[in-house]
Amino acid sequence: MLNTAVRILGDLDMAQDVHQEVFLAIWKRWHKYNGRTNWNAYLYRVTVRKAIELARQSRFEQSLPRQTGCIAGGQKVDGPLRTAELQARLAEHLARLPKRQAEVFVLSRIEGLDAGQIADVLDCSPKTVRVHLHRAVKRLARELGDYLSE
Amino acid sequence: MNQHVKTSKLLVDFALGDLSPEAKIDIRAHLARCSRCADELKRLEALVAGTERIREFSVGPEAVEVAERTVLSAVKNQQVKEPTSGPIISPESIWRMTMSNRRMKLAGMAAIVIVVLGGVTFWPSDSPGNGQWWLGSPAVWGKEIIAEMERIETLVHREQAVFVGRYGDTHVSGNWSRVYEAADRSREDKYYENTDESTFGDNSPDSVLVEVTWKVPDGKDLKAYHVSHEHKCYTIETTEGGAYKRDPMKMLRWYVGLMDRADRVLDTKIFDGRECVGFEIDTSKYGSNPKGRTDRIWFDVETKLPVRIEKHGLPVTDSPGQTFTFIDDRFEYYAKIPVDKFVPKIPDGYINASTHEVRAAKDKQQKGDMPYADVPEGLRDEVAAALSHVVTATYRERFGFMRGERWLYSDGSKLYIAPQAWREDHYSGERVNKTDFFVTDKEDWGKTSFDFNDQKFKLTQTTVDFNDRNYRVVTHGSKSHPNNPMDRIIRIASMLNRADHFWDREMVNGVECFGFELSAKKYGSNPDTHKHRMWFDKLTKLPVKTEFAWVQSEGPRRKICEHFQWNPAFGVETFVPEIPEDFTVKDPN
Repeated sequence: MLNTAVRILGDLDMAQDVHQEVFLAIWKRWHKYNGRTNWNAYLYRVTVRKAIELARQSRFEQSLPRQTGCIAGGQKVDGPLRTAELQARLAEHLARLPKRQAEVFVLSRIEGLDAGQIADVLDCSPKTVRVHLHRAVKRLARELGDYLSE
Repeated sequence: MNQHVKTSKLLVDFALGDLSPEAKIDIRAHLARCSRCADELKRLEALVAGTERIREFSVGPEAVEVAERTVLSAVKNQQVKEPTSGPIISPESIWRMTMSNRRMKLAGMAAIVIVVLGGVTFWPSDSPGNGQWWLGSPAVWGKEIIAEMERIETLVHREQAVFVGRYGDTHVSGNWSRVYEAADRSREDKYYENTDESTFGDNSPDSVLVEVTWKVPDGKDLKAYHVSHEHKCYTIETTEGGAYKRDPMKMLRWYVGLMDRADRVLDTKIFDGRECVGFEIDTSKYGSNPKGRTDRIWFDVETKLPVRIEKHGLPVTDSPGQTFTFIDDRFEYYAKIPVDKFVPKIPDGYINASTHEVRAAKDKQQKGDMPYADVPEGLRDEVAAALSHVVTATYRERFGFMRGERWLYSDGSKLYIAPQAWREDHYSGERVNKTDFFVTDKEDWGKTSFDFNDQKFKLTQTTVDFNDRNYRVVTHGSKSHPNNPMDRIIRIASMLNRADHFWDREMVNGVECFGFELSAKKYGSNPDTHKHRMWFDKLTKLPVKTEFAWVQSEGPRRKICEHFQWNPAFGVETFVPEIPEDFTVKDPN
């Protein structure tokens, strides 16, 4: 969950806020859950939603985020910096996408889930997932166009 | 569609690696000539590559440690503030259990409650402090409830149905019943109410009593008296040796006995002012029911007796794609039913005939003779079965009108159909001059009709006009929206048994078919000049051509649907509106 939040927000402090918030929310409401809850899907869903919500609420500065103890394997010397910049810009634009498109994009492109797995997390059909992904990718590519063309 | 537009739609799939090698060759050929598409692909691929780098990212061990400490500290603070909240087991022990479970760790899910609840369906019934008896063992509380039920000898309850459309949109049936049950007799009062879908019930002044059925013993026989106030007729049927001691609580006891097989406990809800807890069960766990249908049983939290039973996903015979939910509720236990409730009363002047006979006679009087063709037995069911396997379709539709003695036809449109979306390309010659996209949004739809939230239903219609170079977006709600064109085709096909004429063999578009003709006056109050014809492939039992003919003041008209392709594969972009950047938005009003 912590990794998911960091990948979305590009900021460890904010990711830890999300992480803590998710656990506290479960803790407070736990008597309402039952033994058949699909926890994997539930936790993914809640974490992604809270991270995107936090991205919407925050004012993202264009400065690079602080990342402590992070691993970015197999990249060139300037790779981590460029990745971090993309994370920051992406988080800003994700916050502007329709909620469901942002969720599908994160789960697919950042978390690497396939359409069936995403459908399970978000409780919708794989076809719906593909439509949302399609729209999100097109829009983000258009809005990040200048940056991506550099 | 020209190559550029076609390619543009596939670029996202290309960037995501979802295209076949053959399709990629076509795209590359286009890209070599089109710099606009080449630039777009470059941006898409850069986005995809960038997100793959982000995916490789993971936090280091010290960050995990900080996160762990922060969460435990926050949870402990929460326990200090609200000692009764949260699980009974201490946070450290839960965390240790979680972290020692390799699978949980690898999943990155330090899911406290997963491990605690994994394999444990209910808490012990003597669990302190929460009064949630339903979390205890059903073997314990179920016995209590059944013991209580065995003392109940009379029962009154309500039965009603809610129809669930293709999109999960619901429509409450205007018909509902109140049922009275005693040891050896019963009575059902059927009402009709013109519901506004927010209120319905026996107290409504708009409810009209339309039928009453008594089943009462006559010596060893059982006599069923059926009186229709709507048609002013009655019948009496005798089942010899049918009188027996009934058990009004049998069904409810059976449901309680199923609770140890329930799939999940539902959040509590209020029904008729009482807080109730629900259990959900897949009906394939009992009887010979198909998988995927669900029953829900709701119990009064205070009395523990059943308050409501919902049977979801029941098929509607003439409407594949539609289901209904049967609801049994408003149970009155130990009901004091006056004796005369079970005394059959037949009003003076009522004729001794069944409602079916009277209805048919009235139809004949109002609509004249209606011929019924001899349709081979079982054929309608074969057609319904074939159509039930259809998920996607395409076909051409065109309109015809008479000029002199000749029929002239419009260029028409091509339709693409999927369960939750459809699209219509309107042609002028060979060119698409307008496209309508209809896409439903299933966000937050639940599993059954009562999870469905009308507020969240959305059917988005996007109309792209290539002549005027503009587009318009209209959002339809659940109460009023265009219907999927397949619904109409299926509905007419399901009326095969009511055909005016049937023929066994006719070649249509090179396919050997059987067909039928049906006057629209057989359903609703339509004039006889409105007629349907359908032709079906003799082999597959699927439609090959449909025709609807009617007469306007300007003369006869026809709508023809043909060139059907069943279950074709669509690219995901088929229902995604592709709007050229220079198109302007048209006000939906």
